Order: sequence, then structure tokens, then C-alpha cells
Amino acid sequence: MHSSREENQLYIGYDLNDSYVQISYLDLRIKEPKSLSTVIGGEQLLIPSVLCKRKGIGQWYHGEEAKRVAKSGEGILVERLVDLCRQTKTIEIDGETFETIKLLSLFVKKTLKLLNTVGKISQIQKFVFTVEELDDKTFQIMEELQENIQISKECFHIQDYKESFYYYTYSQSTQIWNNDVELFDMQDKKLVSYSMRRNNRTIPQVVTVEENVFGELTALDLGEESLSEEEINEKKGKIFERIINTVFQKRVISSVYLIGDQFEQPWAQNSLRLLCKGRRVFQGQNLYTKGACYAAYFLTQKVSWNKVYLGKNKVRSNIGMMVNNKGNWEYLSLISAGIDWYEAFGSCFIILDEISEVEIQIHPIQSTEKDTKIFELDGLPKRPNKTTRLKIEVSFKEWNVLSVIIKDMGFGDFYPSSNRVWSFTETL
Amino acid sequence: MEGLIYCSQTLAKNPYYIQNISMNIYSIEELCYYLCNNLYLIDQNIKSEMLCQWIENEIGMKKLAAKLRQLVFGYGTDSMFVGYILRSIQYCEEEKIKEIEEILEQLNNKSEHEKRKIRADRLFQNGKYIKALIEYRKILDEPKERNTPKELYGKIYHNIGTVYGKMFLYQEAMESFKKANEVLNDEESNYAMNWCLYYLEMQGNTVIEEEDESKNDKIKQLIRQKRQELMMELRSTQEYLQLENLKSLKTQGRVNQYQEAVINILEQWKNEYRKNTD
Repeated sequence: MHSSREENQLYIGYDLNDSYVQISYLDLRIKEPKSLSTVIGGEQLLIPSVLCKRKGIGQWYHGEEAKRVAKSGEGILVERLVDLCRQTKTIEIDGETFETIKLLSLFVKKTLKLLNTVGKISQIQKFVFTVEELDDKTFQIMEELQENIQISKECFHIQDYKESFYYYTYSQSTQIWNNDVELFDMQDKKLVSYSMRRNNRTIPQVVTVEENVFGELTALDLGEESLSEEEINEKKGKIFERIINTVFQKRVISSVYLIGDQFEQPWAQNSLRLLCKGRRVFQGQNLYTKGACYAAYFLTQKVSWNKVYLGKNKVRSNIGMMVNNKGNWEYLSLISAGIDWYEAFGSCFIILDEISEVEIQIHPIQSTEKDTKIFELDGLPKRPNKTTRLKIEVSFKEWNVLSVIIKDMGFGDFYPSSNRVWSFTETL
Repeated sequence: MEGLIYCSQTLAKNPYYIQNISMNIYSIEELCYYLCNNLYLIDQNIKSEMLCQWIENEIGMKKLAAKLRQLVFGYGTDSMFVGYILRSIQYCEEEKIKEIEEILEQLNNKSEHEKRKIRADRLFQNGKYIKALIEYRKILDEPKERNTPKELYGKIYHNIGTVYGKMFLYQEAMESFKKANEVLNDEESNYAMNWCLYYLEMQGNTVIEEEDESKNDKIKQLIRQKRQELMMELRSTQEYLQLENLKSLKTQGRVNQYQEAVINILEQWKNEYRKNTD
């Protein structure tokens, strides 16, 4: 089915969480992503996101070993490495100052050594890192991380948990995602739900994920009420059932994913029975890392599937132009909806024929209406018809702010370029 | 075809040099532009293996190159060759391409001397004086074609006179116009001949005094009148204003600006001269 060249290719998904990280890989011979264990032949999939510096010398440990060394009193533990980078640029440890991004990079580098058990670096086509929330600050941190761990920009991609959930789900069989799909995550003590909806009336089908946070269960744990464990469990169970009923109201849900071992506790058992009615329910901890793996494959292979995920940072419109290509009028796509705005870029060369403006079409993917923007080229040098070649570059400055740059290229030796550049910004 | 034309091919790293217009071209669109706007300059040299290689290696249009090669080695006509190139990107509408092909076919039907005269005329119109002169001379140096009217050769002499005139060589111009007049016996060549005579007299510092006007030389009067009209027109041209500006800089003692302006004008003239005599 796959050529021998494809079989050697690896795709890596990396769940970067401040409690644990998980790494998985996709080898096309196996077809499904496999999570890496820190113990060969074992099932130690979670690597604590900690570093430990041995006191007095420049020796560092990571993961479980770091916890052991710190516990023994011989080292200083450094935890929650991503959050640390968000809070401060430097930190003092054992009398020395360290850049927090360098600590995070060191940790990630050490964990990536696990990949040596799977294959060579040259086989890896793409790394997709997935984080809980991808805001500007985290994005900057990840960009610096990419440079520090020396992965090329083309091989590196970041996405949030919601997007990893999207890739994971739609890589499963149709019965799983025929209707809406729900995810409950209790890894970080608070309960988060991701409600995934698919609009099958659009082409491509637009998928959205709505996030909700429920603090009631955690509040109960921290409550000052003097309740017995049994009473707390009963209350938790009831609260969870209420949450399920609220979230599921008026929706048809094919499958439910439960992330975190909290759902194995006694309080959740009744709720699980409720969830299982007419649905498939899955429990586990490595959905995001595997989702990131699937993403790595789809982004590299550019496999077309008929869905597009519209997350926070995604471009929501198709951007293109009508052009005459060898006598036929065609639609030229410059940017497709569904990609992250900061990665969105398209360019082309055109020649003006009896006009002095450029028309760009904007098709919002969730609407049938089309918007046309006309960019006038004032100060265009006077030349005979069909002797002005322009370079058109489109990109985004924000998820909804389109940038159009048009450059006069002249026409070879016949008409040298005027070097004129027109810049436009359009809020969509 | 109002709109945006998509450039699907890359620009060439190494250009193709077109001798007829002394220019490099970097793209298939520029090649098409050259062909559409210089029909009468197209000769059998356009059908070359070098152009086919350039199209294949620099532009990446392998199919077109293969087709054109068939025409080069299969002795296809210029019209077919040009038609294929224009159609490869549908540079203009089909009607226009057919029109171009027809013109080229017609040219193909003209006698060799007629074709070459048209080519020389276009070279002259594009400012390629030396090339045009060489072409005209070559035609005249060859035995006259039996089926070609002798008027053609008269016109060639006339055009040679015009080229010499553009190069300020009035003696040579006058002699050419005289020969043209002998063949054609027309007013135009006669007029042009007298114009040169007038200029030669002026260069020889012979002043046409008032009493000369009374000699009733109709043509010389016409020439003097025309000269006055032209002088008036000249005074409003960009080039004249440039020179006036130069004079004023000198008068005002603005030495640096004057010198810079002189250098710029000389450079312009040199470039024009180089282009005309390339």
C-alpha cells in the first residue's frame, strides 16, 4: 500500500503540558500512533514536566529521575516549565541565573532522546507540539523553543488541545464521529469540556469546538463543608450528571472521550453509565499526543479530507482571484481557510490587461456570500497594455486582518520596474 | 480580455537576446510581446534551436520547445512558429493571432527584396539607423529582382536619404534623395533633396539674403518657412527646455549643477546614439 520510502517516514506528536508530557509517533507500517514509554517494554507514558539541578554542579535531570534526585535533597526541582517561561525570562537556581526558555528547551531535548528507540532524526517528517491553550505568549515561547531545539520551521507545528482532539477524532472510523463528539478533561483538576460539532451541509464540512470550564467539582474538593468522603463522592457524581445533561441538551452525540484518571474514581461511575447510553465512551490519557501525531501526518502529506477546523487562530475565508490562464478564466486560490493565520501566505505573478486595479475575492467558509475587494493602483507607470507584471502577496496580520502587498515588476528590459509597492490592509 | 493575466511560467535566470531590438527577454510573455509588436522584424532567424533550448531550459515549457523544434528542422514557416508560441499561453485572442499569422503569410508571399525593405523600414522606425542602412545597402548591392517594381528601389534610396538625414550627414542624404528622385520623379524626394541643399548651404555659411527671395525659388521659400515653423515647435519640447535650463544655470554661475546637468544630457545622447547605431 505504501512505498518503502513512505514506510520509513515518522510523524511525531508531543503533548507539552506543565504536569506531564507525552510523546507519540506514527509509523505508516503500524497505521496508528504509538505512545513512547520511558521504560522499554513498559507503559510509563507520562513524563513529569520537571527538571532537577544537582546542587553544586552543572548536572541536570528530567522527569521521574529529577523527582527522585530532588526528593533525596541532592537537587533543586524546577517545575511547570512553560508557565515559568510565561512568568519570567530568568530564574535563579542554586546561585546561578538561567533563562527560563533555555530550561524548557533542555527539558524537551532530553525527552526527545526517547525517539532514538524508534528511528533516526532524518526519518522524522514533522513534529507537532500540542498545548492546552495557544495564546500569543505561548506562541512566542514555542517559536523560541523551535529555534533552541533546532527543528526547522517547516518541520515544526504547534496546535492547541482542541485541534488535536479534532485530528484524533476524525482519524477514527465514521461511527465515532457521525454526530457530535464530546470530550471531558479532568487532568488539571478542573473539568473542561470540548463540544465538537460538524456542519455537514458545507463543502468542506466546517468543524468547531466549543470549550467550557466547570469549576463546581473542584470547588467541592476545596469546600469548607465537613462532609464525609462518601457524601462528597455522591455530590460530585450528581454535579457531573447535571453537567452532562446541560452539555448534551438537544444534541446527538456519537462518542465521548474522558481524559484523566479522575474518571476512574467511584464518584464518576454512575455518570459513566449515563454516558454509555447509545454512545461509545473512551477513557485514556494520550488522546492529545496521538491527535498531534495524526496532524503531523495530514499536514505533511497534504491529504485532502473534506473537513476544515475553525479554531481561534484559523483563517475563516478562502482568499483568491479570478485570472485568465492561457485564455481560460479560472479561480486562483491564494490562501485556503482552516490554516493558522500566522502561517497563511500566498503569492502569484500577474500581468494587467486593460485595467489598473487588482480584484481579490474573499469567501467566508461559513457563508455562501462572496466579498470582492478592489485595490486601486494609483501612480501606476504609463506603459502599453500587457506590459506591467505585478507580484501579489497576501498574508494575515491577525486572524481577521488581511494584508495585500503588490509590487511593480516592470516588463523585463522593455519596461524596467518602477520599484513601486502598494500595501493594503483589510479587516474581514 | 480585460482582467488579470496569470503568469504560470517562471522568469528565466538567463535571458534570451533578441538581436533585432538589442534586448534581453526573460519570460514567455516578453517573447510574445516582441513577436506581436515587431512583426516586420521577424525573419527566419527566429526559428532557432537556441530559442527552443531557452524555452525548454529557462522557461520550462518542454512541450512547446519540442513542437517548435519540429518546425525548425521540418522547415515550418515563420507564421506557424509564431502562432505556436502565441497560442502556448493564448497571449492574445484567437482572432488577433490569426491576423498575425496572415500578415506573416503575406510577408512570406512578398519578394525577398520587398520583405527585406519592410524589415529595414521597421528597424529605422525603431531607431536602429545603422542596421536599417546596412539592410537597405545590401538590397541595392544585389541584382534587381525581375518581378519587383523599380519604384521599390527608388523608395529604398529615399529611405537611405532619410537615415543619413537623421544622422546629420546631409551630403550623403542629398545624393540619395537625388537618386530616388531620378527613379521616382516625385515631389517628396525632390523636396527632401532641396532641404538637404538648404542645410548644406547653411553649413557652408552662405546666407540667404533678402534679394535671394526675390529669385522666386518656390521650394527654398517653402523650406525656410517650414524651418521657422519647426523652430517654433522645437522651443516647446522637453529637450529644448532642458537646454534652456542648462544655459540659465551657466548664466547664474551655478557651476556644479550646470556640470551635472551637462553630464546627464550627454549621457542621454550617448545612450540614444548607441541604440541607434547598435
